[in-house]
Amino acid sequence: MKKIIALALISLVLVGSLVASTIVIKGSNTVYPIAQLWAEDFKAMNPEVEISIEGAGSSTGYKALLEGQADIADASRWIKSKEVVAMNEAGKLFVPFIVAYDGIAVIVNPELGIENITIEQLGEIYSGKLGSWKNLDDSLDNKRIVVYSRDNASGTYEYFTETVLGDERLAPQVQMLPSTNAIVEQVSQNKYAIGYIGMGYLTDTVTGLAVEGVLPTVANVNSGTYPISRPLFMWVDGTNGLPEGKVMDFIKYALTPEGQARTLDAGYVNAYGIE
Amino acid sequence: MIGRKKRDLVVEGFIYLAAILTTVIVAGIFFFLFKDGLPLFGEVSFKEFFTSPYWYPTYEDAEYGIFALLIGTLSVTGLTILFSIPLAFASSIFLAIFSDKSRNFIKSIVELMAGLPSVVLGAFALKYISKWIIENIPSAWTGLNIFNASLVLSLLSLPYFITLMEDAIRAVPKTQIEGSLSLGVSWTSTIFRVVIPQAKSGIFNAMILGINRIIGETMIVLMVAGGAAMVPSGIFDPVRPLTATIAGEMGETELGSTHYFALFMIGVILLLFSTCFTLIASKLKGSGKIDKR
Repeated sequence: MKKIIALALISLVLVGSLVASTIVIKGSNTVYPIAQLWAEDFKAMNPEVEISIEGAGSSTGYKALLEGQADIADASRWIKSKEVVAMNEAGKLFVPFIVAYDGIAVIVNPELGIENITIEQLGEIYSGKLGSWKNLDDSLDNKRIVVYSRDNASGTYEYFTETVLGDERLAPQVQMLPSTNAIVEQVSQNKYAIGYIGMGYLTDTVTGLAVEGVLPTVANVNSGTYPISRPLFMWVDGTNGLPEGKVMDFIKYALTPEGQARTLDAGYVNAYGIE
Repeated sequence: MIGRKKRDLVVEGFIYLAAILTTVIVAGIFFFLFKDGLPLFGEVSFKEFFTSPYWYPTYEDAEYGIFALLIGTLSVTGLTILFSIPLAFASSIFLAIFSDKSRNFIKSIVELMAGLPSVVLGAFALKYISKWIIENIPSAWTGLNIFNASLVLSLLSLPYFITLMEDAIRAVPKTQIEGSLSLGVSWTSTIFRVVIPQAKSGIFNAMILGINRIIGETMIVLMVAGGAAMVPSGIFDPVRPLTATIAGEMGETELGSTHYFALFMIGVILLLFSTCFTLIASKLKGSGKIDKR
């Protein structure tokens, strides 16, 4: 008899652990750091919930959501028309929540000695028309501008090149690096380098330039004056109504004043009120 | 109890199965790479793919030229060979002929090097070698370039070269070396006239296997080769080798798009490289005069 009770208990625990929900989050690596902070908080409040987060790019998030392999898709860009077509063909409806804002900071080496840059100048630098710093400003050294960019798999890349280049092409000599850290590292080592990163990754080893005279600060992104900033999304599958349970609780937490305050910890900007 | 014969049969069958499985897997890899790579040439001309230096796969009017990427791979590989083969050659002669007590110590260092994860070496190069290059080499405009990647790749490939070359040199019968020395021939001449000619095919074999390894290495070139899809004009220019392109872009590529086919076609090219080298290596080994005993 005791054995049967023990077995029943064990199976209950097993079933319970299966039911104990897992939240799977995939998508943008820009959203990743803030999703991770929220996941830590959320797990502290709901110890039975498992949260797995991947940050391999916005496209991977939409793909995973379409294939039902994720509960939440992080995205640093809006859904593309071909992704909408795929969604429609699958008979699904995805629902977005704006969870934070991201400003992209343009960084140079502190020794270079410039503080401001325009979108047009950025376009000329990234398309290779301005070869030397002297062409930008006569007071600068006649040295080659060493241009860094993220890989074309990154959402930050897409948004940045769209904003500063439009339809123009990136010059072949632009160096595409696989991570933000690599860009910060290279710019901090090289006096004549320029790069761009999410504002959350700004360190004091590099200078974040003012763009069109507006500094990359939380206040300026919040007020909408900083020109290279964008909303960050979490998408859920809303085909049968908004998801219930832990997935929705997670998003609700992210949008609370407390959750929004965390965006500042990750270097992003809150989308809604914080206390 | 199963009889001895039966047991042998079972074991034999299992071994055959394992061997066949490996063959099937390799054939499968070939098949699927070609299946996903060949459709590219329905959309991009053969000539554009191999001769255009413009790699712009994510633009409206996309271009899929891998010439710059191919040059990237070849230049990084070439410089790595220049760095590592002379060093490996000298070390292997030392290890095979001259070292006595120090051999075990050096061998274990070499083995330790072989076990270094490439991502760790990459991170080191990104932070320190790159900085050193910018500070000390005036003609280098970026710290991530062919030179840096080749330096790190040399570290990675040295253990392969050294181990394989040492084996080749050790296979030369000791009696011949002793014979040569006892005739009053100097060490230098003995090495160049007796040892090297005998070990030649083994040394070539080692070189080819090592080169194969260098071409396929991905993490280091992704991290430190610079990532610029340009045709380099010097060893301090950044490049974007074929492997780095696949690794950097595959994650965001839509299944069945031209970009996707192009990345698979790059995979096919890498596989063909590797097949050629492996075939040459096995030919050399077959014709080699290595005394197996």
